[in-house]
Amino acid sequence: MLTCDTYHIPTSLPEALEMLNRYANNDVRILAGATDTLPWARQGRAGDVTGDHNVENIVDVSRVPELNGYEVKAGRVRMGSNLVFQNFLEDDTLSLHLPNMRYCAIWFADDQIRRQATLAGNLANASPAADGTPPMVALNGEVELASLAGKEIIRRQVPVTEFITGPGKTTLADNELITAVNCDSARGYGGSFEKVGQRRSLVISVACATCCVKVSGDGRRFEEIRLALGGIGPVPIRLDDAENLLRGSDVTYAAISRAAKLAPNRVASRSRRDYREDVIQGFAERAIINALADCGHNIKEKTEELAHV
Amino acid sequence: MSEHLIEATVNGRKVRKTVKAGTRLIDFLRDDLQLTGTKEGCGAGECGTCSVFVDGKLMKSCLMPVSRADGTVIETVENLSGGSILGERTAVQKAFHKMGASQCGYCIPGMVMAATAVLQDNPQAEREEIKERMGGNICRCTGYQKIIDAVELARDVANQIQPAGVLDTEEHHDDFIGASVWRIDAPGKVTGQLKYAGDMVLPGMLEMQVLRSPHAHARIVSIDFSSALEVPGVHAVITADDVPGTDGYGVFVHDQPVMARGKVRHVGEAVAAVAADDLQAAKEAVRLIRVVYEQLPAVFDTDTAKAPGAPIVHDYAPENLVKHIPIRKGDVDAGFAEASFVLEHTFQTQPVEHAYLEPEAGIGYVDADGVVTVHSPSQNITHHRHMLADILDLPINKVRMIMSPVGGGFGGKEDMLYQGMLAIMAMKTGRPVRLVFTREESITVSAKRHPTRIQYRMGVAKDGRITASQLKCESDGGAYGCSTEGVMRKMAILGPGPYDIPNVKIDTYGYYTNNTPSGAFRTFGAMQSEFSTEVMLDLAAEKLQLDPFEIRRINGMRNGAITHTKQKLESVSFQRVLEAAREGSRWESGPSSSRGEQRKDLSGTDIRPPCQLGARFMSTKPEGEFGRVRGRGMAASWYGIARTATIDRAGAWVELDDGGTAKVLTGVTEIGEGILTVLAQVAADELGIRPENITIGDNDTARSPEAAHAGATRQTYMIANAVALACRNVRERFDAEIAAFWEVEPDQLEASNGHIRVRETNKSMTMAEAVAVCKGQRGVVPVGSGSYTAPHTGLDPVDGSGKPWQAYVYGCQVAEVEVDTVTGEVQVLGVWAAHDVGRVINPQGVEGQIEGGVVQGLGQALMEDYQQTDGHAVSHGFDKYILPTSLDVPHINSIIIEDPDPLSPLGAKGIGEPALVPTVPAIINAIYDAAGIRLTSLPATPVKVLAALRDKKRMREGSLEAAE
Repeated sequence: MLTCDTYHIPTSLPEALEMLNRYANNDVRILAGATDTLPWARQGRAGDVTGDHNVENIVDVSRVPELNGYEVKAGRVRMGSNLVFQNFLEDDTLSLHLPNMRYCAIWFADDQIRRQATLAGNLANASPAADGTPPMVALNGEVELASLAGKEIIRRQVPVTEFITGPGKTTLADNELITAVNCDSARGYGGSFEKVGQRRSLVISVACATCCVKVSGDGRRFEEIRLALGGIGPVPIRLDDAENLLRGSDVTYAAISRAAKLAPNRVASRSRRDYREDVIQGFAERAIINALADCGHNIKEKTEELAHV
Repeated sequence: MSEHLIEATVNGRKVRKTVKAGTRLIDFLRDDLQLTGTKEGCGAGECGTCSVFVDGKLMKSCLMPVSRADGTVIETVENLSGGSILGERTAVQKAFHKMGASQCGYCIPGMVMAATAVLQDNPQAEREEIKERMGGNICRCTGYQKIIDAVELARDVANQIQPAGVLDTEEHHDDFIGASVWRIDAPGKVTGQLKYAGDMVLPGMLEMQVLRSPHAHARIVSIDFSSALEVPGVHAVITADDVPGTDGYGVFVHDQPVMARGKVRHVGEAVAAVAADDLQAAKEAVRLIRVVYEQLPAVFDTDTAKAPGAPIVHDYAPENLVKHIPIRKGDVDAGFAEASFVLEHTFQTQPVEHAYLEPEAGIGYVDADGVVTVHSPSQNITHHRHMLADILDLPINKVRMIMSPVGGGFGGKEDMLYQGMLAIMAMKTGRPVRLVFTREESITVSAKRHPTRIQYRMGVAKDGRITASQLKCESDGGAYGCSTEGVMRKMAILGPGPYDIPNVKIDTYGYYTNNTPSGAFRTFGAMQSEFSTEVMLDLAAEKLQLDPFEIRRINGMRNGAITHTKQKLESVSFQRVLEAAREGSRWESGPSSSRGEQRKDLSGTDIRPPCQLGARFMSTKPEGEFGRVRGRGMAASWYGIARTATIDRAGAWVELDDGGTAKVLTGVTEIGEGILTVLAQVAADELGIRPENITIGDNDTARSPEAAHAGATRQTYMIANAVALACRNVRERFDAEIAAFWEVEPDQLEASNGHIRVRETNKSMTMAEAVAVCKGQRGVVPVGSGSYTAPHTGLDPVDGSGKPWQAYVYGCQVAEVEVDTVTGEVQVLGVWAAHDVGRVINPQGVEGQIEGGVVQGLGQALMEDYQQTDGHAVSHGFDKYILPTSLDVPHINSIIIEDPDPLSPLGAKGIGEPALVPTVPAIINAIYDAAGIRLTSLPATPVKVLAALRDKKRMREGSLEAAE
């Protein structure tokens, strides 16, 4: 169980940042959704012999109003860092602009945890198995980081691909807070998210794939495509080579299949590598086909060779 | 530690409390507000027993820091029925009661809250969406089917598709045996009012915490707890030195000390315990205990354990052998010589965690008469009292064990893991002491299903007859004996299956290692060995191009069969059960040679659709669903009822009470299966009154006669018969008095439904009047007793012959699966489960056992795996120990076969354990049918399935190349 000496609940961004400055050299932990941190603090994880993990200071940012809500502006979506996964299932505007996110959210934990767990927290945890990272990588996501210098709030934008440097590792500085996640709006795209774990609810992913796709007006060509993978290496991967192959090409199964063949080369995991190499090609195909279906384009050709039987 | 003032509205009342920073909402609700309907199953958001509404949204209260609850409106399960068991229950709660959706009840408050949330969020939610929205709440007993049925019923009542009256009406006649009488204990469970051990508080109660071993095998050089005693609030520290009597417990051999004595043998073994005024002080003290260990070489697998020179776990067993059980019948070498082919395969099963949602908990105290008393969810208070009296060196009547409601057991609560520490601490401090395990503690410390390697040889004749079966089963028993001896015995006796085999050679071996102990787990070893038999038969059928039902029909036992232990059986229902499963599943005949998609019996209306997440916003199947193949498999099973190879007995006392009611006292353990309801039905039927007028006083060694343990599928068989006999005893006495009063003969009387009458006359009284007559006019209190005996014999130590049980049951299941050849994921869509249960007492309860058993089998077939690295648990929480959710379970079609036991008064046999035996092989055989891959190592995870598919593809490519 997570215990602390002092539990801080700042009610404004400057107050929160000021606390981070004050405790930056001490033992401090930022709490947003808390759905990862509380289990982490238990026995066999970070907990001690009694199953407790103590930190000196907890800074709970759930009541910082500047971190709430989202806005869509100039083709980008700016999501406050208190935005939770359930929002992607329940907010029509978010679904419109982020067509892959409701498919991602439905695979994420369960309804109850989704009401607490934030997208920003998912990125900050930087787990290789995170569900939230590949969709953000696909949509050119950036995290907005804020810190306090004197009285001035300093903000910087870091691409998700640079923010996450390895399992559990990010470039977040001790006195910084994620204030928002920004990404492209994919309005007019079809979206998808594929995931496999050992069951169908509360699943920790072994691998996942996400796609957003836009088809030309005549329905024949891939106008734009975004493809990213998770769980197959220390960091999420954008399949830019496959995207380049498909962008402008005809919407055919053959093209999709050719592009998906590039996916297994990107597997960098040390464990279950064979499995991940096997799974990721079919996953990339499914992600593209399902994203096409999501915007009304059904690939009729199915092939038996896909079934590895 | 800082404190926070919390002001919130909880269940409609304003609450203002100062709380310690960092505590969680669940602690606030349970400890500060005594709202214990909110349960802690895992503490990590992975089970849903703690679900509550916060500002109208369902949340897991173990994941919410309490400081965040300030200013919110909170609703707990207690509020649904107005904070009382007597309040009007909601439609959801009533539907749970009606549909038999609660078993042990521990997940049920959270489940009821989740169901309430579903219907709030979408009052029209369809079945798949309901399952999806409830996917965060784990149930280990029911298999979810009746829970989802209940939510659908509540939805239909709310939408006026069904009249509200259905929720209040029981639809059965007044013959209570054979009727789906509603569970008598469900109201307390659906309202969250039932108190489990961890919910109980006594005045002056101390909290206990345990220091556990970080090493798998180490000598304890010294334990220094002087600093621990200095912590304010600490009352005492105990170690092995504080055990007053003969230390040691175990279901078969008493090799396990209350706390480590001299050395530790597995990670997590108790070394010392602290009791303090509060949990925080107890934990602080535990951190200050200094133990010096000298690490010893350790052993983590059976091959190493049995090799010469291996580290010795227990001095009394220098070869690390816990038990070897041999069974010999005929001459296997002759049988193999006679066979047209001999199949040889090796199988490996995994350690499995019981994962009852209620972690171990208990309270110990010494009462005013000096009786040392322990409340705990024990599956066997009778044996625990015996062992504890020796451990405490007290006369047996100075030790009292009381069963608290059991939040799931499945065999895992037969071991006396902590009751000894509670008793000793209560004696030492003079105060009530409570211990509640965390989930991680429970998983790390409690016994697992024995992981077993089975080397199998089966000889088969051209006509499909098995000519010889030879099984060598080697099980990792872990650090202590627990139930290993019995598990080896049952694994051996039942291993070759319900087949008439002239030549049999079976050897089962349980070894000590420094892993987490293995112990009793639903099926007690039978699942492992029968799994291998059923896969072997599928292989044999394929080789002969026989239908898998046909090869079982050919070999299956019939009336008069001689078992592998040379027992002659009278009534054998196996062929009937096979036929019922074949018909019920619409099985298309054909060889078990991976017919898969060619089958015509797939995709019926009696399966569920494959789970596609997004039911709430997606109505059609997405396009990219290529690579999914379906198939079906089947497997059969048998099982023995009640204790194995030893005399079994149970007792009961009954009093016909004022008002025409009755008290039934028996040391029964309601472990969630519904035995209290079964006993009420039996007593009602025998006494002629209604089940709701029966009060069952259950498990307390000082207040009820011995009925022994919840296990071995024995409770209905042993205890219901004991209750029936006790009721008959009471009726004999009572009828004599009433007959004398009416001046008729006792055999002219009949009683039913609360009335007693003289046959073919108009003489009649209510039972209330009759009891008043018996007492007031005849001066007799109508009391009686009964004891039921099942006289089994032990096995011969050389050839294993004997009569281990008098009643046997048979089962057969068909599974339909979909294998995703892209991901390796297997979804089980349908299961048809035919089981002979003897005479049925409560069909709904039987279905509940079948559904729960099938889903435990599914978990074991596909996902569950307790992993250790050098004795350290890797899967110590529900994040890594994967259990089936509502989205993973098939539609289960229960087919109940009644072949009454001719030897017992009621004719009922049992279903608790047998339900899961055939599930695992049926699923594994179905995977072969669908995808052409044979898995012999459990569980069939996506990684293993895909690896097998890869191997198959390579082999095919290799043979194609060779052909070119």
